[in-house]
Amino acid sequence: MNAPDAPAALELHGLRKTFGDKVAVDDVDLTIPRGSFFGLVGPNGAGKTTSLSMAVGLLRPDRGTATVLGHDVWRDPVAAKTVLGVLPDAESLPQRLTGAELLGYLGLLRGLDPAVVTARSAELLQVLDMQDAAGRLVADYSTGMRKKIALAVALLHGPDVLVLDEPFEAVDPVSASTIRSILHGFIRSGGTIVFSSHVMALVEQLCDHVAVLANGRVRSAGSLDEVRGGHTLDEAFADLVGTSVDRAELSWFAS
Amino acid sequence: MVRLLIRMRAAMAAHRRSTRFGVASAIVLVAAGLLSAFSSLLVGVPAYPTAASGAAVVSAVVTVWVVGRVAYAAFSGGSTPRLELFRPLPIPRRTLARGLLVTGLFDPALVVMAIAFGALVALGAHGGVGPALVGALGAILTVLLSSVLVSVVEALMPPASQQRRAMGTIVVAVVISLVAVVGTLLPSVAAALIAGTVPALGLILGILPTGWAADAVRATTTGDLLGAVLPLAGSVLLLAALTLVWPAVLSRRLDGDLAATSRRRATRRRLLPGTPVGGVVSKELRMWARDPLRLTFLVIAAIIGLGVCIVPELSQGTGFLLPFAGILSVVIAGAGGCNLYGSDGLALRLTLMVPGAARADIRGRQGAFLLLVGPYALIATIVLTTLSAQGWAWPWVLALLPAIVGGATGLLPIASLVAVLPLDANGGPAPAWPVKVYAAMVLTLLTAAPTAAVLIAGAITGSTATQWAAVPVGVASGLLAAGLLGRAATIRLRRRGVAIVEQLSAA
Repeated sequence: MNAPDAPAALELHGLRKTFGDKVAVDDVDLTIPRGSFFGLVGPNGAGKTTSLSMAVGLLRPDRGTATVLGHDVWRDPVAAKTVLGVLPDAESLPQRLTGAELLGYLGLLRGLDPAVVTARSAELLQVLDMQDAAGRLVADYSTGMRKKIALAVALLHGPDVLVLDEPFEAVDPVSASTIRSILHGFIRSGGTIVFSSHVMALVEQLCDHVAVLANGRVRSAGSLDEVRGGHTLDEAFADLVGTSVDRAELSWFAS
Repeated sequence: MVRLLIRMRAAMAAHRRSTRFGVASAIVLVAAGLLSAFSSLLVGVPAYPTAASGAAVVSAVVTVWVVGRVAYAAFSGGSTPRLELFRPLPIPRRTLARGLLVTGLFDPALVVMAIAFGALVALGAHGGVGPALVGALGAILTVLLSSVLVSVVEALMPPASQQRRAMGTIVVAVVISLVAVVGTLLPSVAAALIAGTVPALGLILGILPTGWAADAVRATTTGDLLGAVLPLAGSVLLLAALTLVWPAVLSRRLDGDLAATSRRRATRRRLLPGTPVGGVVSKELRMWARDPLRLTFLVIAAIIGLGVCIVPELSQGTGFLLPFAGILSVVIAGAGGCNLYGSDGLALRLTLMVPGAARADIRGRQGAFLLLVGPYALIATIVLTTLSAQGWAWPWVLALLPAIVGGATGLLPIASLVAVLPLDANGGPAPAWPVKVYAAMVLTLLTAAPTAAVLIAGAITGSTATQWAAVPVGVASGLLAAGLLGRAATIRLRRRGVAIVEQLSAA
């Protein structure tokens, strides 16, 4: 599918970030092949969001590099960000714009033709079943709706690489299935998706490549089958991260 | 349950003011409230020419307090704690209604209002113990009425949308700035009421329930027993009616008949060019209209800018400051926009993810500010300078206006990128924000220094030609400031954008 020496969709080399004494990301190396649906999994605080923020140029690493389709996100940010689509988190969305205004404004800022912006915004809002919410302020959206409008923001300019941090969080099942089919269509058209999630079943169902992150380090990375090693992803994950699966109980429910 | 509700309310109020800025502003608010309350009380102290004129003045004061409290209830986004909290609880509605009504009495504003309504007692005291007692009874009834009315109005307003909460902030800011400006006009209003030159005003104040207590005091003073009992009985009846209606209003609200409404905004035809800069300009215009912090500053800029210059004309007949009202408004509005990246918060991430967007973002923000204040300032300056009939002022305002507008437009983005102050946990401005605003005001004024120098030189030498020569200097300095400072801001945004996002997300 790819030319043998074509650059990877996303390549992270020796990325490291510390906040005070805490090492959030500790020398992360990852190669995400073009056309892959890549899942990044890990427990809370594993460094997933920090790694992805550094990968897309939103957080400057203490050291290490990140390249998108061969463009260094820090040395050549314009080229890198042109091909990147990033799912903004809910707090990055301007609360006092309506969904339609948000898409219109960002489309124009990206230099898209006004007619294209209007057409694409309408199509995105329709596909995501948000026509009724288009004229309401983002501040009045539910968590799921914010996720959907954020996804629309990421897709608007037709990126080659999509980076999605927890895209299915708080999204209802119908919308989740819509989003899945949009993402599959994106992969079919030759795009690459990197997404982080806590939900192993979802990662297993969607992704062909996986990396497991814990305590800021990559514990395992490769194709889904390589990482699972004949078990379920859940089992492999518990094994890699070393979590205990003992059942937790509440004292006042004990018989 | 009442005790629990009160404790809940107190805990929420305590948490709200836990930031340093919150504590400071609460202290200022309480001090200002008490000061206003005692000055209101003093309104009842002097001897008025007639009992009716005294009653009119005092009822005007009472009306302002009650209307202010109810307006705040209507726009502040509802009660604390929010009524929806009680929806899933197995409490009979009547018990809840009673509990909330009693809780409503534990409103600090009522204490302040009770002090202010002491004016009724003071007014009655002129006529002896009887009228003073009637005044006290009237004051208590009016406080109770206000409290129940606040509960009813809060429940009647749809659950708080973001926009309604924002409106509350703006209403308070507008009221405070209006009071600051109009306060100087109050003596004239009181004089009109005493002299009876505006009979309609006196009549309206008498008809409103807020004027009934003062009317009862007036009647007692003149020995009109029926006239004293009727308004008080009316107040009691109104209080009873509101108390009876209250459980039904509460039930309707809790049963969801009054659903949350959020205004649907129509997609407007695009008036601005569909370019990156055009996109930012239209986004910024909407943000100025919808962000309460920004809108508040614009409104304050307009009110104070005009007020400071117009009030001396109205009260003293001095039109000296009139021509400068527009310029002063620009200085205040520009200072209000000195922390745009801080108040927009993490939305900066979206801009940083767009390649090459820094320039469009800066120029767009400047363009929106220019569109907002430019035409307003120009029209205000021309109209007010003409009205003031001060011919000497023309070269001054025509030179200083472009210099200040350009200076403010240039400072806006660069100041917003230096010492970025994130909003505090409650979404309010950071403690250091006022310092930044004052610094920005001084800097904006300094951008007009070269122009002012030419004007002063002209004034000293008595050369009109030199004074007029300041106009092109002002235009050039304005253009230069807007252009160069904007460019500096673009460079800074490119270099420091990511660091600012980091700082904002750490906050």
